[in-house]
Amino acid sequence: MLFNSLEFLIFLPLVFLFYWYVLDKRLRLQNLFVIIVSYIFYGWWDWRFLFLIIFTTGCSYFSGLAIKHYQNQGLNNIAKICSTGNVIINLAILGIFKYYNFFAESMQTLLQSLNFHLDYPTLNVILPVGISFYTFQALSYSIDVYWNKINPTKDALAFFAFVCFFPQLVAGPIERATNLLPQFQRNRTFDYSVAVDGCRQMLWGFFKKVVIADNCARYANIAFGNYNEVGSMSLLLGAFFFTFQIYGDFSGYSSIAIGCAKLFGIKLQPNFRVPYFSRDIAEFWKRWHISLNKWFVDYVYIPLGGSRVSKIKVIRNIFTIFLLSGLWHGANWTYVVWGLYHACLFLPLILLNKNHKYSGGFCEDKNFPSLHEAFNMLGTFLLVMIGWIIFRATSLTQALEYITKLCSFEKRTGEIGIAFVDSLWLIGIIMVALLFEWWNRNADHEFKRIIPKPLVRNLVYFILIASIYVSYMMTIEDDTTFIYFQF
Amino acid sequence: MQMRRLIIKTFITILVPVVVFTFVMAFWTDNLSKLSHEKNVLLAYERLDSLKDVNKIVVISGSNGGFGIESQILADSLKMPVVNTSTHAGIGIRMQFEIYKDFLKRGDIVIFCPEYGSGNLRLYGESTLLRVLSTHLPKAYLKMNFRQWCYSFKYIGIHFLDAMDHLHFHRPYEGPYSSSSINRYGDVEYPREHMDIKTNDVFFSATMDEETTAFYQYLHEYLRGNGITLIHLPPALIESAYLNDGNKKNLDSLEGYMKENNIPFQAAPSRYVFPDTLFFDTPYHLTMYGAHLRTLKMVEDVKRVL
Repeated sequence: MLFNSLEFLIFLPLVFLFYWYVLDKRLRLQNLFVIIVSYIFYGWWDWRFLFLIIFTTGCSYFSGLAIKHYQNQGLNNIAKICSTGNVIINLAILGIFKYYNFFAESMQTLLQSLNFHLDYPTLNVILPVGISFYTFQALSYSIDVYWNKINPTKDALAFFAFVCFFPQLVAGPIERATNLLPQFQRNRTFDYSVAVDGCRQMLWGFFKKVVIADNCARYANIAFGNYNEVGSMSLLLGAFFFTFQIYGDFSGYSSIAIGCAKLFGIKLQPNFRVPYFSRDIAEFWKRWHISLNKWFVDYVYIPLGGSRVSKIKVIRNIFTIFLLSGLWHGANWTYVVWGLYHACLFLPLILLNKNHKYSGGFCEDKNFPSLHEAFNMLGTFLLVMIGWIIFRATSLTQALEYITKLCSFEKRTGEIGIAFVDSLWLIGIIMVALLFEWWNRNADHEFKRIIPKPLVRNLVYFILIASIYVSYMMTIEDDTTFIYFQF
Repeated sequence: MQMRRLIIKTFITILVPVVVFTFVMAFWTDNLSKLSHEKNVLLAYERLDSLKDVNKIVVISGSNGGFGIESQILADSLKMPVVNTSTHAGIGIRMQFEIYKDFLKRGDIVIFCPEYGSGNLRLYGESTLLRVLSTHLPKAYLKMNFRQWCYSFKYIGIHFLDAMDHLHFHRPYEGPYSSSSINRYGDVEYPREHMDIKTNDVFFSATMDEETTAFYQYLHEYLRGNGITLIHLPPALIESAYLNDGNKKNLDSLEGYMKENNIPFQAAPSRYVFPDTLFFDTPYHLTMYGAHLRTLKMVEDVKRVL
């Protein structure tokens, strides 16, 4: 079920009412209800996917119990086998569904180039929605249990609710058991101000998805779909619009998910913090898809030695997590190269020890960035935008041709293209949205600060809802699925 | 108490802009439509209003009627005034009839020849309906029932998007699709030559859904019950499409289905199949000469039924 669908518009109020009016203060029933509605939400795509998520959840649940059991008995080796076994099983599922065909085809191409002819069979399977998200969430639990960061839970209802909680099930944030699981183990009470804040966050999320991302998609598709025929200006605009499409799409989903969770008394971790205001690539990765990056840092980067090893090893570690991050996004060489591209951008910061230059809030004591900061922001934005061209392209050849043509300053030859004047309205909306996010740059989320005057506040709500509605109706026949569902 | 407050406030906050902008979008006029042959919806309405007390021939059809009938021949042969309401199949058969229904009186003749097609698209129309109503005849929105609204709702945004695209369309508009091509009967009267038309694909389906069938039955009964003669004729169809085996089979099956459900054509579909060279730019739009030949056949069929 999509957040931006009529089904969800009916689903959410019904679930909310039943959750609070009928099941209030009945923890186990509430958790059971969360599991049922989450499975309905997930099974809406394809009910067969449910078997996979139930299996993954079950594996992690029992492995957690087994790990603790053997650790208590001093049988650490068996505990390690349980933990590793769970990681292997989950990664094997992920590998089969997501990466098998990619590796089989790549291997075949490689062997053919060496004059070996081997036929690897390919699998004709549908990629289950959001498989990478819930697999990583389930994995983190058993690893944390093994590392004694948390105690395993015997409460199966709480654990299943933790893995399948519908707002963040298909596109994150990738939650940790340390944050989310305890929230399913204690009574939740309705808090009006938190719920209102959740509604505001959802509203901003819908605005980013429906108004910004879906409209940007129309322009970006023109440029990427016809990159051979359009001029450099259209390619630049196409890259610009895709940069905001992916931001609006993914951060919009995260905002809706986090806001939606607040309606049920659950606090999820933030996933985005105004990333396009970042002053260098290191800061960008502290603000973009935070939950995934923290996952890779905690479970890959730090176990490899993190930054407390020699420079060469730090570089190796950086390349490893960016390579994995690229692969996590999908089984295509474009994602791999996109990951490596970002690792390369990281390299100078590592070598100059400047990867922690910007952390925490920014411009806290002033309204506007300095000229130097603004210049850095623009530079970072442009570097990220080039990365998105690689990410969006269907092949490396396309990415290369797109960038080459973009830099050739060619004029449009055919009728297809994006006219700057025609797209000004959308650029205007993006700028207003960025100003709004700048105003909330150090707040908990991008729509946190409350406009004091009720009339102005209600007018802003009116404009946002009206623009979401109008935009939704205008794109009703377009494909407006969230990009990150495929990951 | 607080939860109720949240629900009510959220509901109102969402409802107000949604209702306001539903109306804003639905009633937004389209600058291109103002200048196009779609204006015929208004012209036909005004002409029918002026003829409401006299007996007349009313042609109800999609654009195959506008681009395929020479009403002068009908008027001269049958000695009755003719109003050709045919504009665009996208308006939907239901509204094509409902808009003009109140002007029909005992003794009138209705020539009904909608394009082939299936399902709700032909019955309830698409964004064209909203474009035509908002631009030319807003009061006809009152003729839309709940089911029609449910179906048309999804087209509101598409209509608005089209209207936005045409926001700066103010240049002179000439050609067969312009409002200036409409003659005093409602026909498109503009010299038009045969163009290359692709007819390889099966472009219509013989299946008629229950709702469309029920509407046709209602239309037949309503007219019969009010003493109005109905001539239900097949539309003009391009020969190469007809000869496409799939289409021919579809048409045979459709004809049989309509007979079974008491909504038969009063002429065989094959009778209205014309050579490709008599068609203008689509498999349904005839050239001026094609329209002339088709009308002669219509006159014969109407006289036979009368």
